[in-house]
Amino acid sequence: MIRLKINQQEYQVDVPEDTPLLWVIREELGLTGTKFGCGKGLCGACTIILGDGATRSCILPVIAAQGTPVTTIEGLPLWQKDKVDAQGLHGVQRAWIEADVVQCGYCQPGQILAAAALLKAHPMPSDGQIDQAMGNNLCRCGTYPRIRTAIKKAAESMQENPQSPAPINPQINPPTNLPINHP
Amino acid sequence: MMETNRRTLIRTSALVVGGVVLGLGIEGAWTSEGLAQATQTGVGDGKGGGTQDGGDGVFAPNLWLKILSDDTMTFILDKSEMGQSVYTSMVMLLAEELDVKPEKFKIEMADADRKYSNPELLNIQITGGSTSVFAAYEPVRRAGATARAMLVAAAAKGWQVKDSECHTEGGFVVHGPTQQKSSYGSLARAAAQMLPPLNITLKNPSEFKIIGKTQRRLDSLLKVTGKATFGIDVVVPDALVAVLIRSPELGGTLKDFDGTEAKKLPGVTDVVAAAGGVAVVAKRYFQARKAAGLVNVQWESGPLKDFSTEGFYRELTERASTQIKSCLEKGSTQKILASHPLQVEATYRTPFLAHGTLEPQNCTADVRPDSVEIWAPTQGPGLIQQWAYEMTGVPVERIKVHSTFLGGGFGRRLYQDYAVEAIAISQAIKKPVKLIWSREDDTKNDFYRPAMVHQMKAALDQQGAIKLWLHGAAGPSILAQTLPTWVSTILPQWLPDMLKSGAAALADKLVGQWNLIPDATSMEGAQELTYPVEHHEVAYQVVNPGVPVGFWRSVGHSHTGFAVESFVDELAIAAKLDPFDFRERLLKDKLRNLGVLRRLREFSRWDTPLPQGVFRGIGIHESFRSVVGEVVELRVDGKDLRVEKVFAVIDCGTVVNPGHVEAQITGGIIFALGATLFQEITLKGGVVQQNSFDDYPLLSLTQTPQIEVAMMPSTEPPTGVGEPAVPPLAAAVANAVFRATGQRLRSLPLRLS
Repeated sequence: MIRLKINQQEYQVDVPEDTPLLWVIREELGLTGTKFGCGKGLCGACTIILGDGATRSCILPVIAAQGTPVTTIEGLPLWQKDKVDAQGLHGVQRAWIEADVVQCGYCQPGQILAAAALLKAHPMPSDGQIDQAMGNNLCRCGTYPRIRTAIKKAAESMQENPQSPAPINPQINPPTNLPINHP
Repeated sequence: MMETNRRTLIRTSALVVGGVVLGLGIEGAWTSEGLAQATQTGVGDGKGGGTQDGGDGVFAPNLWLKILSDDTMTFILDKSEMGQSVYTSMVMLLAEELDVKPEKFKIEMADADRKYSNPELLNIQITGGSTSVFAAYEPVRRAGATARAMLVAAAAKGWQVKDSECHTEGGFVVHGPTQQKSSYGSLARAAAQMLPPLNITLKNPSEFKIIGKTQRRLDSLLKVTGKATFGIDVVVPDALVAVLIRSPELGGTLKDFDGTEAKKLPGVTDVVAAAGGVAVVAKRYFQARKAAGLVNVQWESGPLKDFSTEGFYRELTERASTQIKSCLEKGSTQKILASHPLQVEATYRTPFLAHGTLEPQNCTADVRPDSVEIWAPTQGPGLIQQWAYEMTGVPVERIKVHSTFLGGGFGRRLYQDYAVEAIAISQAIKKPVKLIWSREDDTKNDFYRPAMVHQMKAALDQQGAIKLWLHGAAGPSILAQTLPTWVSTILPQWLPDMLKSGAAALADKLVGQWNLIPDATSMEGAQELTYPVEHHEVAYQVVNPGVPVGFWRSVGHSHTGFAVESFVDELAIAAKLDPFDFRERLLKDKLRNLGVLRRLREFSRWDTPLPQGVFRGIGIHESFRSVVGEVVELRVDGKDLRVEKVFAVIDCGTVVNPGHVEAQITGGIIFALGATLFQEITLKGGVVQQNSFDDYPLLSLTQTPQIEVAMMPSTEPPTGVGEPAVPPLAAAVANAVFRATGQRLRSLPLRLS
């Protein structure tokens, strides 16, 4: 039995120790927001936050995550409760919506978690720091310019309201009533 | 009957992705006839279509819209959302005429159904060819306007006032004089009883409230929270997970295998021959993947065992020059050449390319004796349905194909090999199964952008006019490989199977003698040259070794754009003219292209000096009914090519959603830049040499230049935006490299010697 703490919740899983954390998260726990892209740590689609650092879950044996809290896209708002808005979105997720970043969306959970970890380490990152933190998270649709914009947007809004929930500026971006549905 | 088939084939062949537009209009929602029919006779199953009031106040006047009495408005999306934003733009079109905010809609993805056949694409329910908004612009707005008129009529009847005294806003019908209002939902039941109006007037563009303004994506929230369901995320109770071991050599066949050791691993349920390989099935992916490594497989070599890309380029170069020679042997050509000594000759080469969708191919299939259910991230649910029918014999009505979000498409998911495999494995093990490809499976088993060689020769007069343009090309044909497998889905369903297979054989024969069919998939962008040329000849030789080839974002244009726009630059240099001036002179009668070119000149500040060490290059290309011009700013550092900035101007008719046009152009440039700088698929002994993102890299954030996009104002109907940014980019970079170094690079990817 391996004990895991994922998104503030404790789990016990009965899997071989060398099983990549990615597949435990997806198949045992049913959290499919973390994606499989290459299985070799090359693309970043599987990025999770281990403790405070962005980590590739496709090459991380599950045993290595025992004892360290894991955050997936589903639990991002729980990881930094002070960065969450009224709609329950983390500041980075909100910035992603405002900058209209996503295209196919497959890499975006990994991009968002990599950005959230970056902003925790460097609340006002330089372009160089963005390059370093995000340079290995691949996006086939080419959303990179908007990813850069969204990170800067998130940095600003999270800086302005470090304690309280980050509201959206109604002058610039009226809140939209986005539908939540499944295909 | 044969005559009909032949005609269908010839007509349809011309419109394969990017070709001529012909609305075949056989059946379905996409034609005005189909739309009227759906409205009047109640075609459909309650999921859009038919005006019947199902008893609970459903107003479903067409195949896309459903309004419930509780004011729930549903848009049924029959197009695949692969990042190009149909999930938003299609809704915008309907919402504009219905006077409802796009955010108000709940969006459902349609299952495979012939009523959604795409008239722009062979009448199959597929998404591709940058056709979605182009094809939907009129029918979907018409659907919205018709529904709105019926809601107004229902309200007016209830209030006993004239229709003309009522207007609509924000999902309500309002009676002007009394200010009474009723929500669409409260009118649903009554509207369903109304007859659709015979004449519908669509809004004048000046009245648009939604079209032409940036609308944020409607799928953002799902995608930033991890809740969007992609094919790989589908959960089917009791489904097992399969991996498939395929021949490392393309075209190799299974000789023998021993799965004894693999079967001993925990979780493994089956190791069986299926779909030409060995399927390893387990409860979990990692169990199956691990067990696959223990299967001992012997393969029989196939027709590609001696195939290498290196030898293939030599063969293509020879065949392309034969084509040029045959053009040259004609009398008039000789005469022009003799009288115009200013001549240029060049040979361009482009490699095989993989799609590299970030979501690897996958499919979940549940094949039962009398029914089939499939979940797939696909650009062609209708094609999967047909394959399932052909493989299982289960009637099409009992084959359900569910579409999911796609983790990238770019043409890859117009091929249904992963679905065929999943169906075959489910058939073999008699259980529901999710097949997941590894990244390596994906890189090594693609339908590659064909490798091509283009040989060109031109003669100019003293003023820089092109007197002669000869273009000989050689390479594999996408059409020749794809059409025969698609034919049975093109033909009406009621045709007997015998006729369908006969038609497929005929298609095979026709493309075999390919001159019977203009092969747009290979020579689009070269056949219909934008530049005026006095004597123009294009010859194409199909060289088809059997490497699977397919549609790759911008298809034929992806390589003809490089050859043509590089060559035009070489001609400008020979004529001692600025590349912009040279193109402007030639395009003086092509107003749309000229408009883009002039705007680009100003937008990119072409005539202002650059910092030291930075050089510009230009490319402009018309594709998918749009015109895109690009200027790059490049710095050369040793052998490194650094594209620092790209300016792009597009004329895509009416800009439906400026934010998304910008996103598609930017994305197209980034997609093309990876192929320009480093992507290449090579084969040795029939084996693809690349594996994953380490040896087939995608462009990264740090390599992404600054990109600026401008859109030409237009009230013409909207044209393609997903693909047209790709073709001009490689040439623009190569043209800048020449200015920077004096080296003319004619092979992709570009490498300085």
